Amino acid sequence: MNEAAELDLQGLVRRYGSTVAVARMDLAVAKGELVALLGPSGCGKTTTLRMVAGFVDPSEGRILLRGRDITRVPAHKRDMGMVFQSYALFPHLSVADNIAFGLHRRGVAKAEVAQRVARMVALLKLDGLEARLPRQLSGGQQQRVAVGRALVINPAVVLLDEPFSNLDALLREGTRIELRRLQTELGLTTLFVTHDQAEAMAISDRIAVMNQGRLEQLGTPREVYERPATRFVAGFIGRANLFEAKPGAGGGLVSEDGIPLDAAGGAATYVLRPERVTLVAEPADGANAVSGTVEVLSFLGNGVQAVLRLPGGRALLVEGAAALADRFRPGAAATARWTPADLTAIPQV
Amino acid sequence: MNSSARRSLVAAGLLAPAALLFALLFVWPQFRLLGLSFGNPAPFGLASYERFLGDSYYLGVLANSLALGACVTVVCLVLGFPLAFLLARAETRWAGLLLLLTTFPLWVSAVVRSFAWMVLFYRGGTISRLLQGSGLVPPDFQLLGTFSGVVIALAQVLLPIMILTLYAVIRGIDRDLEHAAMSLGAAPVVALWLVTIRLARGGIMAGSLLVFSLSVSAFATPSMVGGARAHFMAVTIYEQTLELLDWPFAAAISAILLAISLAVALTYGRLLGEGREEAR
Repeated sequence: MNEAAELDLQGLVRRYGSTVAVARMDLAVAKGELVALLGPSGCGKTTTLRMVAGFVDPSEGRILLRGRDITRVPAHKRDMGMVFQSYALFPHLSVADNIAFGLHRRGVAKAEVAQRVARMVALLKLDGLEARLPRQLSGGQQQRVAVGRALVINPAVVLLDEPFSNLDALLREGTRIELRRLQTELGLTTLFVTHDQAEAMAISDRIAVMNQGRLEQLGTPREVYERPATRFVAGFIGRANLFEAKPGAGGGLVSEDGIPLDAAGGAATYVLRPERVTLVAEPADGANAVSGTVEVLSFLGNGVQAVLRLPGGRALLVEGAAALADRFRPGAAATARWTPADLTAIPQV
Repeated sequence: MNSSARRSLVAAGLLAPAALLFALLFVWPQFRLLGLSFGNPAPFGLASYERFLGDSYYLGVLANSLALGACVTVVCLVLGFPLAFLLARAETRWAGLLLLLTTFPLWVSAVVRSFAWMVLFYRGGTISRLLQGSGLVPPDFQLLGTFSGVVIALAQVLLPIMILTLYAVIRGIDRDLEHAAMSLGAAPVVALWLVTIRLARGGIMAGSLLVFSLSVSAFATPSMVGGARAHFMAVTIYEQTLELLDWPFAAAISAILLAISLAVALTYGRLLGEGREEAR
């Protein structure tokens, strides 16, 4: 990745007094790549983005843009197009003037400004709204203006700070697909901050999962889902059943709550994704099988989520086809089964 | 009686004491004053107004007061905006305390404060001595009794009002608007000019007009720091009322000052409304 890195964060640290907001962040973003910074609030993802934008000075480390050190370059000379969570549209300027703002600052000729604004307006389906003020637009339209204003300057890197969080659920999904299409078509190198793992999975080339200022894992959506590097990643990306497997009396592995396990590796923390669990009515014994009581059954449209309460107290998460709801009722006894291949060891330090 | 009628009756009842007090202690005397100003020659005459508007001395007093208002406003705006901006954008918990500190001049009585300025401004006072030492002014120079002295002393009192007004407005402007402008290529000063100052225009108007109207009608500081040569409106009204006992004339000057203040307040209201509309 490194030889083609468009944006390269090297050992980035940001401290606020004795609090460490970002600890040793290393991240290389390739040209045309969309990387998501994903994590819960306070994990340092927004601070990282603001350091790249030039609004926050790093305490340590370097930021390279196309090989050039821009760590001390002021924000207005960085050539970044940022979309803010609040959109930060200039309330006193029309849609067209908002989009043209960056072009005017760059001294682009009047005719070209008009042309590029018109192209952006057409691209983002803002036709007919050019003369409106931001407050006269819907949330979705405001978001598109914010995107247009950031993209029209042809920035080296696009920075997105939770750009979908102020949209309602229905609009959010359509908008993110649209933005991904635009990003791929224009080949935009993009850094995207979000706390929504489904959103990150849906549109990112790679995801940087952050927690408490640290980068927990960097990988493609499939990698972070199927081979989580840490317990935190396993729990944050999708839903997970975790087992602390130790050698048991009989020589096999046993979880911390006494479930016999049959896994490819030795003693480790294992992840079992809910959709890998099979729920059957007839009891079974041996490893990778456990009986309990169906506690919750939630119908989700495309499937069913169930919670199997085990005698040891654990709530085992199960996901299956909608038919599961026909075969089981809350309160019924059931057995959960899975295969050794369904257990993924977490290479945790 | 239906409930909406009852509600408006209750509202009227709650408003009555304040309205009565206002009518009795403000509206009624104000009308008496206005009546008095038209009382020369009795029963109705415009002699007092003719005297004021026809005498270059009194027109000079009016111009002097307006000039004082303009100068104090400019000084407060130039000194106040940067301070208000820094306080509004400071990422420290001391910002609140610092804002409180800037309001200290308001806590001290105008008379006490003006005495302090007199001490600093007279010929042997610290500030006058410093100026004499710099060689920029003649050796016997004193700021006491000068227009500049009054401007300095009044600006000190009214600066907190400007800062508080601007602070509130700037705090209401999303900081990310400045960030957005900068990320789009605007240098910080350009971002400040194109975004923050544009959006703070309502507050700048409000603060300026507030400081202006308070300066024009100020009495204690101009009369004490300005001394015998303090030819300002409020001081002239005082002289006419208590020293020359020409009440109709004093009433006419008051009415003129009131009309100016009223005009300023109305403009202020309209501009503020526009500013608010714009900042939304």
